[in-house]
Amino acid sequence: MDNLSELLHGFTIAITVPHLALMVIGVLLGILVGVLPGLGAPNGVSLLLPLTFGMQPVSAIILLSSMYWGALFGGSVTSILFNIPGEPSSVATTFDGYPMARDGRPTTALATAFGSAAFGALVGVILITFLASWVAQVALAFGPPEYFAVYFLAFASFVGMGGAAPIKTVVALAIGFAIAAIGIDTVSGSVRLTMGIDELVKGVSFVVAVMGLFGIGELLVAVEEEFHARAVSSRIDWREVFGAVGRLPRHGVALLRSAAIGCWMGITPGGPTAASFMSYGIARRFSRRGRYFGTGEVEGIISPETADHAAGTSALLPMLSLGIPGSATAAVMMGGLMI
Amino acid sequence: MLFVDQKDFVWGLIASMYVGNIVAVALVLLTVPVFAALMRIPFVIIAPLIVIICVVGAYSVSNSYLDVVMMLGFGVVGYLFKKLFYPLAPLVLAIVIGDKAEDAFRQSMLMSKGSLGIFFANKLVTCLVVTGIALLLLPLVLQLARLFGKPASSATEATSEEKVII
Repeated sequence: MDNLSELLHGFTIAITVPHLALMVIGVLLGILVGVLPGLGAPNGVSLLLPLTFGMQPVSAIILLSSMYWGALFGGSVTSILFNIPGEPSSVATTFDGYPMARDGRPTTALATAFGSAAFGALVGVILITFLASWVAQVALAFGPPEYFAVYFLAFASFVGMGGAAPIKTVVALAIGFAIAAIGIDTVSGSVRLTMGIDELVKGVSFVVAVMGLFGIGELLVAVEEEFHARAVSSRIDWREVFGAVGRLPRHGVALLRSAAIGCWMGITPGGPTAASFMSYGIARRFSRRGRYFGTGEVEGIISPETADHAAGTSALLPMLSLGIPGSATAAVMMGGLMI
Repeated sequence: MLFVDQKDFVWGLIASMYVGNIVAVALVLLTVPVFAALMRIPFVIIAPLIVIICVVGAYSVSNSYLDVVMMLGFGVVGYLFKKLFYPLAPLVLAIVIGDKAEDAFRQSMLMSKGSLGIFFANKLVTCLVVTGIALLLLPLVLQLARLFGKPASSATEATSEEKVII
């Protein structure tokens, strides 16, 4: 296996003391960036770019990619604890992560999320290792019709597999499309639905929408329900951290299915967001405990997290083999490589 | 092509992704108790903090006050959705990839000069579109089946589904 010997050679480059130190720094910075909503991985990576100018290219990319890891992990933290997703791709994690944390099991929720995220990422990397050239060809075959078909499938899977009434799902989708249409139309260049407000020309930012919908919306519901008794007595126990990770193999089917969805969506640049939503929807339909999804189910955390990270990782593949970034962060990182 | 031109660099990166992943998981699992401890803070203290984080976050997107106002507006929308049992997930999904989907659709329409046949032009795209259409029609078919099958059980199932809405 030619790739394998190349990989081993790569390990000799990666596992050196300065590079390991860079990884630790990158991951910690990444977690910090990921935890603060609104900053997000693409911004964080671009903030770090100037730091890498004086470095060897390999060291620079190691710092950037470990920061990417850190930010991906950190993004799940606020989704689970406060129902505020820091990244589009961690929105689906809030559905079950937040109820579980509210239920007094934040340790389990976080550990499960991190464990399955790591699994997804690992599958993504393995895919890159062995299938790089083959996958590159598939990605090349993707034109606008294919992109649309993938997005269409993501929307349709919500109507067909979501837990809500299909009509309500369609209504929610329609409102979302209307909001997405605000701003400059990228095909014709005309300005739509801005009602004469200049600031709306750039469109509605995802971060703004999500922090309002999830963060503030949840807060309003909480305030209405019961103002005082919402402090959660969370047990903090190392055994619970490792117990949650140890229980992951029991959900092997969900893990593998989500990783497959994630890889597929990452390579065909459908992206981690669509991947995590789709994986959640499919898990809800196929899981035996599907009807309890949304109340703090373990598989409801595993599915979106695994898919998210599998997609996030395999999104690096088109970048490496073709020079097409599969995600915003990958694009910024590629910018860093070119400097 | 990076893979051909700079082998050392690419494989160094891929190897560092393996190692970096392990380092990241280890570090992140170590921080779990710290983050979990945040949940112990009483709601009366956490709630204003969340508002502050949201306001600062919304403002910092493009230094615009309008974004803060819109964020609060979305908060009310989120509240209404929850109260009326509307799902938030499709709304967010449509906001995030709605314009990308529209671009892709209109580019395909330009390519095919307005014919929908382009979505059935090759195996891959046909497969995706047909699966999508099948999923769209699935609830309708299920509902019809329920209507004609056993009318009595349909009511109870509808209410149980209503409860698990996100």
